[in-house]
This record gives sequence, C-alpha cells and structure tokens, in this order.
Amino acid sequence: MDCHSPASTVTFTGAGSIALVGHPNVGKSVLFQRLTGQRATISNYPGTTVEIARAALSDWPDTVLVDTPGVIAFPPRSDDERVTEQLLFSEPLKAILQVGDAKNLRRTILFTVQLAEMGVPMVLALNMIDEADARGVRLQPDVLSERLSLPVVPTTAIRGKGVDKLHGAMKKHTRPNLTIAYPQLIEEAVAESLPHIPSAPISARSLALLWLSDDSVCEAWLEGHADRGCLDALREIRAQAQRDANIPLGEMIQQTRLEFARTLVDEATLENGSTWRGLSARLGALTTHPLWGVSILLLVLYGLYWFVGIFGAGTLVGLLEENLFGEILNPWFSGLIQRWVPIPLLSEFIVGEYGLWTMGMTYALALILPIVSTFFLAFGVLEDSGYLPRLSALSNRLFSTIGLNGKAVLPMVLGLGCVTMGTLTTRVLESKRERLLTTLLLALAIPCSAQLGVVMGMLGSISLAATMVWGGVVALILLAVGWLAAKLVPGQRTQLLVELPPLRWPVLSNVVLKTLARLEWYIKEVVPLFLIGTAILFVLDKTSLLAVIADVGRPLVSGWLGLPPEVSAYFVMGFLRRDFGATGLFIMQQQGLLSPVQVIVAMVTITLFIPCVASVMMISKERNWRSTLGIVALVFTLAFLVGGLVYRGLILFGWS
Amino acid sequence: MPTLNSSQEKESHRNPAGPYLPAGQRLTELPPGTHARMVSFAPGIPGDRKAQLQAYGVIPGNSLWIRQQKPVTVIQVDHTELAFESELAESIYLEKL
Repeated sequence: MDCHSPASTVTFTGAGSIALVGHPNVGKSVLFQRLTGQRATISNYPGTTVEIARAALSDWPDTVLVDTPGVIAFPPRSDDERVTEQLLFSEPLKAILQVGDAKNLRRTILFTVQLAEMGVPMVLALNMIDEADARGVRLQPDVLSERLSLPVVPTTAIRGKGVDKLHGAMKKHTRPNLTIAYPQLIEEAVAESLPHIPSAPISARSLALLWLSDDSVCEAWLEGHADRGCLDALREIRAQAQRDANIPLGEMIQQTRLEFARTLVDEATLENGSTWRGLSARLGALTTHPLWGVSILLLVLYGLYWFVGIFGAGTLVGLLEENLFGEILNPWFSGLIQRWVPIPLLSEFIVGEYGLWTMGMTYALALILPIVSTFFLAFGVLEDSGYLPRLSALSNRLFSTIGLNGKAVLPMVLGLGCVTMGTLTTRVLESKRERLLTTLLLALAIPCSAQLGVVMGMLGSISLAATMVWGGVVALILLAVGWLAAKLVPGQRTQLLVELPPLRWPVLSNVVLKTLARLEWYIKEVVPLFLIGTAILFVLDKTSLLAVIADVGRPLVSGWLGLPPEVSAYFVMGFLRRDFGATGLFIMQQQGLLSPVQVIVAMVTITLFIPCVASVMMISKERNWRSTLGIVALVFTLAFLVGGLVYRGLILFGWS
Repeated sequence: MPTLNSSQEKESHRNPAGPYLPAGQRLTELPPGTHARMVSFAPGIPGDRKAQLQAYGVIPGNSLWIRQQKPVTVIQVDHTELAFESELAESIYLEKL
C-alpha cells in the first residue's frame, strides 16, 4: 500500500538551526560557548521544564546553534532525552553537530551511527582530546571520517582548539552516506515500512528503525503525521517482525550497531591508552571511598556553609540590607514616595511597614538574592567539577531506605538553597514515583537557605543541644515519612546507574553563565510571588485580619504547640515568605518572649511546615493539582502533629 | 520460559551447573582491581538498564576493570567510570582475565 510519495529528507538553506547533540559530560556547553561567543537565550522546551539554550553562531548569523540535553542513545529514557529527540524532529535543521568524548570512542560512534542514518548533514567533534592524550589514547580521525562519510574534527573546547576547523566543517553541509546492514529480519521489516512513512525531517530508514525499536517520540510524531491506514500497516509490520524474532527488535538493532562500532573503532585506534592514574583520578577514587568519601563530603559541606552561610548570608546581606538599602536607598525612596504620592494608603502600600518596596523588594534583593546567588554559584562549581554524581554514589544507600536512589541528592541539596529550585530539579529523576516522593520530602523537611540562617541563629543562641534536637527531629521525620511514603506509593524503585566523569577544574565562565541564567529565572519566576505575598500581608495587616487569624489559630498554636498566640500570624507569613516567619520569631526571642522549649518547637514546626508560596506554585506546575493538595495537606498536618509531640516530649525530658 | 539466544546457549552447555545458569562469576563476587571480560547479563535485568549498560560498552566480549565494591560498585569500561548499586551488579556475569 502506497500512502504517500516517496519519503525524502528536507534540507534547509538560508536561516535554520544546527543541533548540538551528544552524551552528557562531553563538553557540549563549553563548545556551545566557543562557537557562539555570546549569552544564550535559555528557554523551556514547550510543555516541559527542560531548558534549551539557543544562540547565533558567531560567524554565521542566520544560523542558530541549539544546545540539547545529553543523550546516551535513542530510544530515549528520560524527559531530557525525549526533548532532544523531539528537537531533531521539529527544528528546521541545517545540520547536526555531535560532540563526542575522544577517549570513549566506542560509545561515541554508537550514537554517531544512529545520527548519521538520519541523513541530515552532520559533523562529529571529538572533544577533550587533551584528556585522551593524557591517557595515551591515539586515534585516526581520517579513518573515521572516511568510513562514516562525515567530517570528524578533533577539538579541545576548553582551550578553543579545533573550533575554527569546526566552523569550516559545518559550512560544508556534508550529508553522510552511511548504510549499515542489519539482520535480514530487520531489513525486510524496514523495506516493508518505507512506503507508509510520510516525509520527515529525518530519513525514512532511520524513522523505520526507531519505529521498530518502540521509540515513543517517533510513535508520537507518526501519530501526528501519518494517516490511520499507514499507522495500522506499520503496527502490523512491527508486530509480525517481533513475532519472528526471539529478542526485542530494538535489541537486535542495537547489537548490530555495537558490532559495527567495535569494528570501526578498532580500525581507527592506534593506541587504546592505559588506565590513567593522575591526581584527579586518585582524588576521584577517594570521593566515593566509604571513609574518605564521607570526609570529603563533610569538607564540601563546610565549604558550602562558609560560602553561602557566612559570606553570602552574613557579609553580603549585611552590606546590602543594612548599608545599601537600610541607610541609602530606602530612606531616599521612602522620602520620594511620601512627598509625591498624595494618598497615604498608597504610599504606605509602597514604602510602609509592609510596603512593596520596603519589605517586598528589599527582602528580595537585599536578603534573598545574595544568599541564592552564592548558593547557585557554589552549586555550579560542584556541578561542573563532576563531584555531584559521586555524591549520588556515596548517598545511594541512604536514599534506598526511603525508596529513592542517590540521584535524589541533587534536588535535595539544591533545596537547601531554594526549595523552589529543588522542586524544579526533580525532573532529573527517572520515574514519576521518585519525582513525587522527592517533591514531598522537599516540601516537608528541607529548610531553604533563607530560613536556615535564622533557624540556626536562634537555636545556636540557646545551646548546641537545642540545635541537635531540631536537626534530629527533622532528619527522623524525613526518613520516617520517606520510608512510609515509599511503601505506600506504587511503583518500583529505580536502581542507581550513573557515570562518574573525571574530576575537572570548573570552567569559571561556564559557571558564571549558568548562575546568571538561574538568577534570571529566579527573578522572573519567584520574586513576583514574593511581591504578591507582601501585598497580601499588607491587606491582612490593614484589615486587622492578621489578628483574626491569630485568634482562630489560638487553640492550635497555644493549646497544642504551647506557643504565644501571635505566632500563628508568623506561620501565615512564613507561607508567603519563608524567612518572614522565622524572622518574626527571631524578634520575639530577642525580646525574651519565647522560652527555649518554645523556640525549639517553633523551629521544628516552621521547618516542617509547607514551604513558601513560590514552592507550592512550582509543585503544582511539576505535578498535578491533586498531588499538590495532597502534599500540602499532609505536610500541614504533620508539621503541627510533630510540633506538638516535640513540645510534650521536651517537657517530659525536663526542658523548660 | 526465558529463551536464550545462540551465544547464551553455547555458554550454558559448557556450564555443568545447568542450562539457565550463565557462565562466569557475578560482578559482586569479584574484588576491586580485577580485570575481567563480560560474559552475559542475567535474564532478569531490567531492559532499560541493560540497554544503557550496553551503550556504555558493557557487552559480552568487552573487558572492564572493577574499581570498587563498597558502598557502590564502580567499574571502568574503556575510559569511562560507571557507578551502580550491587543489585544491578548481581546481574552482570564476568570471567576473570
């Protein structure tokens, strides 16, 4: 049955894009910067939270380079990989630039084969040549180039080597002419499928192979572009072929490619190199060592604490809040508004006690921004150094007790900086179940940096024991709820499998650009919510609703938790701005209005309490409304329950 | 019953322990520092993990180094280090070199 005219691969001349693809950790981002030389526009792929960076090539203005998330191979196994494949279908592609790790040629070529079959003009950049050299790996790029019929350019992106050659190679628009012979069963199925495949941005042959491999992105594309008759025919062909095969078709296809890659790499490799035992390798081995690894982790945590907690939250915030805003900006601006705005209510709305500027913007810029900036900067350094996968490996056993694996450490650690960002990062986890569990735990038991500072300060002024009680209770709840939730939420736990890239010095420009991108996101997404929160507080204060809430909350707050009734107002504030609640309590403590027991109970409760409004909005974006409400209800209940129990427990143990 | 492909069948006929027991030792049974050749995957291994491991180069016939077993298993294939938990490591059969 011939449903369409013969399929062809479309070429774009004129404006278009070049997709930068490759495995994770091969230096795509660094190469991206080298090739474009400017700030990229980072946007979310429609309908997802996956970030895509785009920028024009530096010597080819009408061509946009698109940096895609790393892919190991197709069919895709995560949201990131799916988005990369979708981009290949939807972008007006002029060419594909694959970046590969020169020292790991076999798995690079495995992916090259899949891409080359797509029939789009292509270039392969063998990056990190310096690391290959350091290991004694010697290759023959010309042999590769000839067999794959596409340009192969050795590069060392961080030093800019080979980048000029890359520019030249991309302009050549060489379309690879690579045909691998698959087992007869596959070839026959492909041949039968071709007439039913509509015109696509990639070759019909590669589409057919993806289809036979049960690739979900390919299926979705075909369902949108092929008619019912063709789809039915394709399904029948695939089903028939699978019946005749004794292993999954996708596996058969991959095995052929593996064999091809192995042969080709043997031909093109002069020296395989030896196991490299340089300083970075030895340090790397220590980071995952059961004893040394933990010591290194403690060191890293201390460094994080110093940089974010002391330098960021202390020095920078002090400079901005007290000096810049407190002494210069705010008085000047307040004076200006009070003079020029005739309506007192409006002027108070802007610069009063709960003013948009004096409270909202000041806290956003003078308090939160420096803390979050230092955190993102430190996190960027950890990311680029290659330390984080090692942290995943080290913490895996701990996370397995709560039904997760070590990868969850990433959103959790980010949550210590900003829970909203941590929630966004749960997308790196591989299953919906893990994402849900991690989101719950983030909302429940992870205090963000804005809150941590105040909490530690308040507890520290009582005693070390107080801090330990707080820490112990929160950790216990985290593990207990995590364990229980893992049992109750259906689904399997995903076993950890993670690549450990070599430890590298982070490229500072890369870290700074990443931090700036995160800050931009933060200012656009989170700060407006804080302003809304401030406005709500203003209204609550003006209408004396705050006092009403205090009354309503009295039985719960005073009776059950043993705290002064005003505290309920701070809980409400804590929802709008997490540090507001904490700061309000801090002032009470300073005025001697809270006893040590009350401080501990209050700290435990606000730590476990629902995170700020921005986080809740992020949760509802990432998950559905039902899950969000469930999480909020559960966390709310647990926070008060535990708070009350801690109160009674402490009294029982003789605290006062 | 799980069907074996031809290479797995050959392996099992050599193994007196029975037709479905793969030859070689489990990855978890070998100490750090071992240089070994990959023989096969256990039949129960999750399909997506198997595909990922294969993409990284953990395929029958390829050699790899065992770097660590605790707290996770770390191996080196070509010039890549992979870390995975022992549950997964149990599904990989190797022959010491």
